[in-house]
Amino acid sequence: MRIRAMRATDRRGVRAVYEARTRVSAGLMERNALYWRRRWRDPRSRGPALVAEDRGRVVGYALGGADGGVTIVREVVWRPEADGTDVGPRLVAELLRRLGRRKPISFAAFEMEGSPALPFLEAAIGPPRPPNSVFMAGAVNPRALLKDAVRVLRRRRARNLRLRVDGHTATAGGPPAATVSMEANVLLGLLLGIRDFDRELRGGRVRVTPRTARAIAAARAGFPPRRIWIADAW
Amino acid sequence: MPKGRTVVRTATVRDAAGIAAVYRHAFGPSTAAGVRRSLRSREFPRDLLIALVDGVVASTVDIQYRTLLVDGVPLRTGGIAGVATRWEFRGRGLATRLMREALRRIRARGISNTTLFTGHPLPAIRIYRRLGYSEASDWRALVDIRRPVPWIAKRFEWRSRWMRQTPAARAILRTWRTRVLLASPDWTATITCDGEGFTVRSGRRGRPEVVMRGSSKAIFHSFGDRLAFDRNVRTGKVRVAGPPEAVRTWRRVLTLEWTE
Repeated sequence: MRIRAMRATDRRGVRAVYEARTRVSAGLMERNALYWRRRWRDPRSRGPALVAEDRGRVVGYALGGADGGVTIVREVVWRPEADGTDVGPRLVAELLRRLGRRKPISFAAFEMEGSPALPFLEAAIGPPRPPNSVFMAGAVNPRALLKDAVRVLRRRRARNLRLRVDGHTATAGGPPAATVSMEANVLLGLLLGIRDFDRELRGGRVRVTPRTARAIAAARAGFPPRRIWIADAW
Repeated sequence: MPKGRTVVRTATVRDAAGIAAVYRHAFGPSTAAGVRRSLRSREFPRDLLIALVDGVVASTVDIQYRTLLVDGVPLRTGGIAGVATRWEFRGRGLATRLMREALRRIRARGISNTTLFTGHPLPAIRIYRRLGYSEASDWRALVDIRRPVPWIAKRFEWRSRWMRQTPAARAILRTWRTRVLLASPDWTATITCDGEGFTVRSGRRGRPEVVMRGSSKAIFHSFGDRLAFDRNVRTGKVRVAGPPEAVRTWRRVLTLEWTE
């Protein structure tokens, strides 16, 4: 594996890396062709752009920006199968090395809890400032939310759940092994990786019936631990 | 407080200048051309809502219909952005009214949820909580400032640009002649204003009227964050000395808290 400067011909590979990461994350935004075109044209994107290449395939990328000495880490993403390898730390280290070439005034990075790059950025840049910006979400339509949740449960092969939210009920398709009841915002928090299933269960905000070990295990499989990560604020 | 007839509707490119004026009051430098460009973008569907009071664009809420992915499954969301109100129209519930209309439109599209990004220090966060935004996750800001005085100069360069564009801030810029000394154990910087913009110089220059002392970290964290500034003053992490009126104005300039 080697880290090198990104070329225009790598853009398709970069997009594939982002899409691969979205399949194991909660929150990343869908990016269409227009998004990527704007992104590559955006003057703020003019900074070091690196890819990690392994056997001719792009397995990760890192984008930085520099504006008159103020440098920023824009995005560091790698394929899920490269988790636990040195792809992430090497991308972060090389990006910061390149950003640091011109005696910068500052280095900055803004990340959400679920960003895989966060631990490496914290190690390199320092601990986070006290929280200033916050992402907020609210459910506006419980029935539509149940439909969303059912599609996610099917993707997770957790068809054996019945969901009950604010008086509405839905099943993921199979014979239910458990009924999971909660308020709409709790379900939204679980889907987006803001809430943790076990903590909500302990706190009584999620109820599983029947309250057997088998039913709870089925419910837990539908809501595995995810931590929210949105790379683009709007 | 101006009274008048209020109309809520979707914005068109013809409203760009009025919207840019509202954005300047809330966010910083903004131009009609930039707003027009953004309105014409086809990257995602959107409804930019405006409240007009006697024909003046007084408040805005931008609904951006985006898609978030959970394990690769697309979840449509009504992303809220650009919640802003001109100073002279604040406190009349215009933003709340626009937000309610935004939530109605999101619901009507069959979308399950609404999302937004905001700042902890902003008063609007209370409105969002009242409207049902209960799920929250913090952004982590990692900042390593290598050259403190140029960093402060950059921050004040931006303040100069913004404050020239907005009436109440322009008045402060014109009349502010207070010399401020920022002092940490590792560096000092003097900030002056010539009526058009701020100048930041390294070291102590002349006799300061306002002195802000503290660790580099505490001073940097106070920039643009009223809550952090107040917390640092309360806990003694920063000490601000000077005539009370000058200290109050300095707090506004540093934290960008404009409530006029």
